[in-house]
Amino acid sequence: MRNILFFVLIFFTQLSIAQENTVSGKTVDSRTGTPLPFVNIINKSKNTGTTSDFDGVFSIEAEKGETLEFTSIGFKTITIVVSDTATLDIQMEEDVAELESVVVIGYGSQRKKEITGAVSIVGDDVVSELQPQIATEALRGTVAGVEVSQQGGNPGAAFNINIRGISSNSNNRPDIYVDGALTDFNNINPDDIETFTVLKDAQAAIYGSTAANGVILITTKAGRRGQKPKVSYSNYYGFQQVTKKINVLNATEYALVQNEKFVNGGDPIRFPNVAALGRGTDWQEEIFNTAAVFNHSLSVRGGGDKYTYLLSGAHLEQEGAVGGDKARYQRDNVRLKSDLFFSDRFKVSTDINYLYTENGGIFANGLGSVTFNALNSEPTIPVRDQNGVLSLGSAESSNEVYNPLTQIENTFNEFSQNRFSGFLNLEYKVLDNLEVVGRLNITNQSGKQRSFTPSFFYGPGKTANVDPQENTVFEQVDTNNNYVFDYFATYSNTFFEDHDVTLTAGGSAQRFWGFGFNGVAFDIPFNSFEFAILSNGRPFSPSIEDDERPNPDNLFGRFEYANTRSSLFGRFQYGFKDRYLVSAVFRNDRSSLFAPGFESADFFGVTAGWVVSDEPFMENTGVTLLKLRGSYGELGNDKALETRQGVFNFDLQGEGEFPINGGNTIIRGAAPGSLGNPFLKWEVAKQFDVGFDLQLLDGKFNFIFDYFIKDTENQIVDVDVSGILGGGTAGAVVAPQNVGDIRNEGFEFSADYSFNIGNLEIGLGGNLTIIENEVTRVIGGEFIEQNGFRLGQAAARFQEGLPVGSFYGLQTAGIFQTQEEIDNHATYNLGATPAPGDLIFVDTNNDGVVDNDDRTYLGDPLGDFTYGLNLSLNYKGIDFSIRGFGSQGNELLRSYERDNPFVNQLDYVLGRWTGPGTSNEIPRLTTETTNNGLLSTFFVEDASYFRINNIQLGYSIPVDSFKAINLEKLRIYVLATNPFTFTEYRGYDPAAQSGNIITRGVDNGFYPAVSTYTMGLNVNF
Amino acid sequence: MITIKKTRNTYLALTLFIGFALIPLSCSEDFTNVEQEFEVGVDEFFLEDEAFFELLISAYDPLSFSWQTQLFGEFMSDNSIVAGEDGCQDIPEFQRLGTLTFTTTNIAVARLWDSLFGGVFRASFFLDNAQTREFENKDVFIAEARFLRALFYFELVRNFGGVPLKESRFLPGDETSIPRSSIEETYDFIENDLNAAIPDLPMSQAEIGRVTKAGAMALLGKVKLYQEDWDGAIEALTPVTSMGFALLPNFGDVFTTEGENGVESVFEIQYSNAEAGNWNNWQENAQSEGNIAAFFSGPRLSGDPIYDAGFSFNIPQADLVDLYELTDTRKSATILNLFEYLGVTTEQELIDSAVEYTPGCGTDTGVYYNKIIPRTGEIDGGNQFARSPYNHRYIRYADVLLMLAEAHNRSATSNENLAKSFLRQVVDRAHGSGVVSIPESGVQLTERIWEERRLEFAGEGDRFYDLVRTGQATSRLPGFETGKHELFPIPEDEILFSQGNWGQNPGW
Repeated sequence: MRNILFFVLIFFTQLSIAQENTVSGKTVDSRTGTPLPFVNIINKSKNTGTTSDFDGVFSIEAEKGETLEFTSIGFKTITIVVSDTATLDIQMEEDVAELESVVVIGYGSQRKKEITGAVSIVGDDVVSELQPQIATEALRGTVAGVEVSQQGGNPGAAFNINIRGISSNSNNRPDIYVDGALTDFNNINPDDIETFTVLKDAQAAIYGSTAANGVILITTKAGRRGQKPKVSYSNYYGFQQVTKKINVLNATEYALVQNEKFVNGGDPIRFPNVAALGRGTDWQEEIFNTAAVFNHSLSVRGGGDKYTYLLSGAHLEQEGAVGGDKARYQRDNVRLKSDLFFSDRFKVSTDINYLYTENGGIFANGLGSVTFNALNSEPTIPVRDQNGVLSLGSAESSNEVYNPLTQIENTFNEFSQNRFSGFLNLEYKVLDNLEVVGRLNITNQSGKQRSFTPSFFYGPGKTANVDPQENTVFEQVDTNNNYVFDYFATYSNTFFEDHDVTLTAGGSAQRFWGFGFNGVAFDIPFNSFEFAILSNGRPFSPSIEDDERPNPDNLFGRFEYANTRSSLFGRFQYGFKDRYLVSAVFRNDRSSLFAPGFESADFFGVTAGWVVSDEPFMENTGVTLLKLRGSYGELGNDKALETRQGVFNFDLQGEGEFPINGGNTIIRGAAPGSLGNPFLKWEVAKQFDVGFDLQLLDGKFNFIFDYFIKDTENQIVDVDVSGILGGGTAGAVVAPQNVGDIRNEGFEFSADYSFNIGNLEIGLGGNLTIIENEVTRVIGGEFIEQNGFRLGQAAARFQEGLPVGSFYGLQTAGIFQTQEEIDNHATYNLGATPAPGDLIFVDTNNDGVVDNDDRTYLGDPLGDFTYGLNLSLNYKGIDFSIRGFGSQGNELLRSYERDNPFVNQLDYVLGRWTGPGTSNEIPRLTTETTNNGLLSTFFVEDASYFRINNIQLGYSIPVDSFKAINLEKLRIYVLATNPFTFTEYRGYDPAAQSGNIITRGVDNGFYPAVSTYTMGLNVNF
Repeated sequence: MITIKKTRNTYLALTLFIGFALIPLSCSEDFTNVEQEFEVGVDEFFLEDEAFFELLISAYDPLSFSWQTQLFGEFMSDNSIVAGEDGCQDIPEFQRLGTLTFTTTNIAVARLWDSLFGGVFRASFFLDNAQTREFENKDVFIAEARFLRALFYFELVRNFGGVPLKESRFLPGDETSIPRSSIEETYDFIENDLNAAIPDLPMSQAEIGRVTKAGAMALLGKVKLYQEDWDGAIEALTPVTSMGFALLPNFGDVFTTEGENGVESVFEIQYSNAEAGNWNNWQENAQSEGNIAAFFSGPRLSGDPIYDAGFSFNIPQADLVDLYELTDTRKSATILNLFEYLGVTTEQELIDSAVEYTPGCGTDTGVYYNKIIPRTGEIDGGNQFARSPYNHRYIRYADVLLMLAEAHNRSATSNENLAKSFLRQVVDRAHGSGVVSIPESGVQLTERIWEERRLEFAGEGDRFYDLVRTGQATSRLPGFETGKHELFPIPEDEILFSQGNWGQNPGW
């Protein structure tokens, strides 16, 4: 007998025998008392089945003593043994305990209880609590082992999702399937989501070559057969603000610091009259604004006798908290999902999605960005001159630093995309226990981009200056397409009562292709964005007066790619008495991305589980579930190569231009471009996992533990190779190489507990992830280093024995207080001669000289542990929830300060060294050349943080008074997103990371994280 | 009965299941074999008539490496300092080169290595493909490619010492198997290429900028000079004196736009303003076709009718400026003194002047290399980055004459009179006929030739290499460590790529 504990609400009524071997009755929704149609009914003993009709009425052949099973999605499964019962009243209870709920696992589904891999599930309750603008945010801090970081806080900014650590040096993004169709988080209306299922371990091996980063399966809401139309409407309005300001000097402080610096450098003081300066301009204040955000979301769902449907649409609009309208983001989704039941055996499902996005964009992160200019501009410059015109950047200051408002004003970017995807799913039950499925998903996405750089004078010598008639427009159109065709068969049967076997086998064919055109034109009429299209401009720069021919590079570019993959897969699942569970998965992939001889690869996974709580000895212990799990598998990752084609090929697409014949005439030669790597192998992740699930107190307390080791081998990375191979020539593309191995080892814990105190329902939850990340092998060298600290300094490394992206530089040990200390210290061979007040760098190799060889590990952006917490309270109609997440022990590299004597500085310089004993942390200020700007511990900051990312208070108005209009739910709420971040970090956002894996921890001035305050409404009827 | 039915069902189901699962086996191979459409493949390419000309052009392309040595040769020497933006932190890798405090990880050194070996790669790629196919002008094209490879290797050997050598292009794995050759072997390889090229090269070319017989012979002479093979240098250079080259009467005319590719140019590296770089890619060689050295060396000013803006790098120092004698017409052509040009006396007046001058870092701001810095109208300032069309006069006829003078004077069979006659041509062009005297012979004469080289070529990028070649670097350059700074270090990355195959240069 299956899970008798959970089927307490079966009511037997009207016991009588109508006919000799037919049992009939009615299926009813236990909560509402209304008939529940289309419940699947199987006679387990005879292996025959039927379905209840529109009114819930059914009849099935059955004899006394035989077992009947009633299943319906969203309801608990009910199993009964036929006794002397003619008419059964089957009260189907909505599935709350979830153990019986069905979880998608890729090309099939499984009851949650039977799952033997490390799988995490996030429900729509989390989505509605967080009200994310982009669905990814619902995974932030909510799932153990899943780390989500955003690449800055600008609207539409990309997210990094790392499942179980940084396991790839090129691309860690997991594949995302919505109802079996491949897509991307940015494309989804968050309100459509019912559950996220995150496959974290070898369970994902059914996805083979794309599974190493984990797989996220999203199930969307759907209508039910026989369901009356249900309308849901929700909206929210709110505003976003930057709440964090970096503390820079005000005008008076700045002038004093400048004077001291110039005197120290032997130069005349810059500001003889400091007193008149006051606070000056707060550039950050000038660029930050309050930005509006609003969202409308509407859905209608329901079903009839032979169909279900869901129609939904949403509209999101958002401005930038920096850049306002220039950084806007807009998204529209429309979707139609339907199931058609042609017979009990044949079902056709379709899902049609349309997405439109439109956004602007300001230069958000890094050197030269708006925030960079705001931080570095001198506070002594007024925002506007006496005529009210925005002031220019100063002549003295760095070439790249100028008034950030002129920058915003002269930024013109327009991106839009249309995306259609159509999904067709055919399911046919050939026999009662054999089902075949064919599905096709086709996506067409087309994008349009227009960017205009007007002629403008930002200040003397500024690199951004554009001369009259040299304004440029860039336009691009591109289209990206893919289809994924899957077909598989599932056979499931029970042998000798206790042996459950499920076999799945099938294949998949996928093709990804796209192309695009772009072009540049100069000299747009009236220097205006309004007229900025290619055909209004000139194809070559007016400054070359006697140019006889346009430069084809400027005129246009074109790109095209096509990649295919074909796969075979199979899965064997076996369960004995629902207690001892094993599964094995195999997949073979062939990919056009790899050279002949390397294009095929095999992947596999095995999982096993033991439901200890179902053992007789566990009865009456109060443990509703105790399941031990283990898995091992080898999974692939070829994402490093996506949207590229034939990287193994040698070609002649390089740039070989030379102005032979003198003058302005450039002759185009033909040069080697792609240098090809025909020996490129697949990235393989070897994953091991053990864990257990524990459930106590009738499901009120849940605890999940996992320990894992994930070894990712043959990292595919675009790396430098020796210059003798020609990579230093123009247009040469060094093919990616297999460069090394990474190990991630860690623990995941998650727990939740819900209980009542009177009418107060309380829910508590939390998760904790501890990951150790280490590069275990680097092929062809000891490390890979990437630049990115300030102006082109080496920043971070991929080095054996260290975490990926470790900061690597000089270790400091305070400040030289006296010349004597310098004389007693190892000799500096770093460029400048040290003086008292300079940073003391440690001679780590003890060779008596401080030089580049003394550089060492200084920290890394990976936290020692990350965690998420949540609390929810419900009291009658009032609901309250609070969520937070954090990271401890992660570091970021402060790199947003321009190394130039005139720019503004952070206010920590107020604590600088000014003489012996004044400071042992902040070096002296001078215009002389010093070594203090070299990458050292001085720039590495602890970026541990805890962020309250969500506080929500809602009130559901009692609907009884609205019975007349069939109102089911009416709720209003207020929500604060990211209201508080607790951190010691000086920069804008301790939780941001860039998209580059090795330098992801280098903070070149991330767009600040924003806090959002909204009010919203949910209506169902 | 039920059992039988059930079993039959099971077999049927399993049979169907297996049949279904086997469907895909038949059709997956072709599916994943994706042809690259619209792309001219390597084999198809060589069917085109222009193929080898286009391929040869791409071997010329890496000559634009030379903006780097043009800068390094000056700001690493006693002629000028790196300078740049006030504060002396601008482009740190240059600052460290200028003060001889750079290390094995200096990115500018690595870029030089990459761009020179990029040239070797392109030339060898041409040779690999050309030697097995037949096409028009094959011998000349092959000779040009050999010359180019010799030039790239010459720059490699004078910057890095002995390097890996290979007749065909390098392939992955060579970095761990082909060792560094000795300096002698490298020079032999260069001479071999040049000697093979010279007979096939024409006296003149259809297009300006392609190498001629004289260009290759002059380079061979320079290669010999660097090996102190004086007689070899004389042998290579003497014929060049009767190939129609001459000194322009007015020194300053050599460096005007009109003077490009003139009667004094033996081999000139072509730059153009037709394609600009930008802040993001200027380091990447040849993305810009402009001369970055010339552009970077300009003053920070705007609105001047003659001089256009640059980034105030490579500022000449008094040590050089004061060396020019009063009668030396090369001074005004070589050095621009903004104080004199604008008629002001203090730096503040410069800053306040109509051109809104911004001083660069270091001393002598206001003094620039007149012969190379950008002129108004020839490039557009602002973001039109690195667009200077200034050609690098790689080997001028004056160089041929001074090399001959030095070789004759230092040869075992020293011919002082010939040496003096060659020197005299250069000196008299600068000062007027017979205005200044020159030493009679011996070391004094050699030193005078060296000094004339400095005065003649200041700003053109040969000074540091001359100092090293002539053994004067230690005494002339503060911080120069004998036995170390003669050569750049092999870039640290390259040492790692070679996995122990390549040793580091002495002292590094």
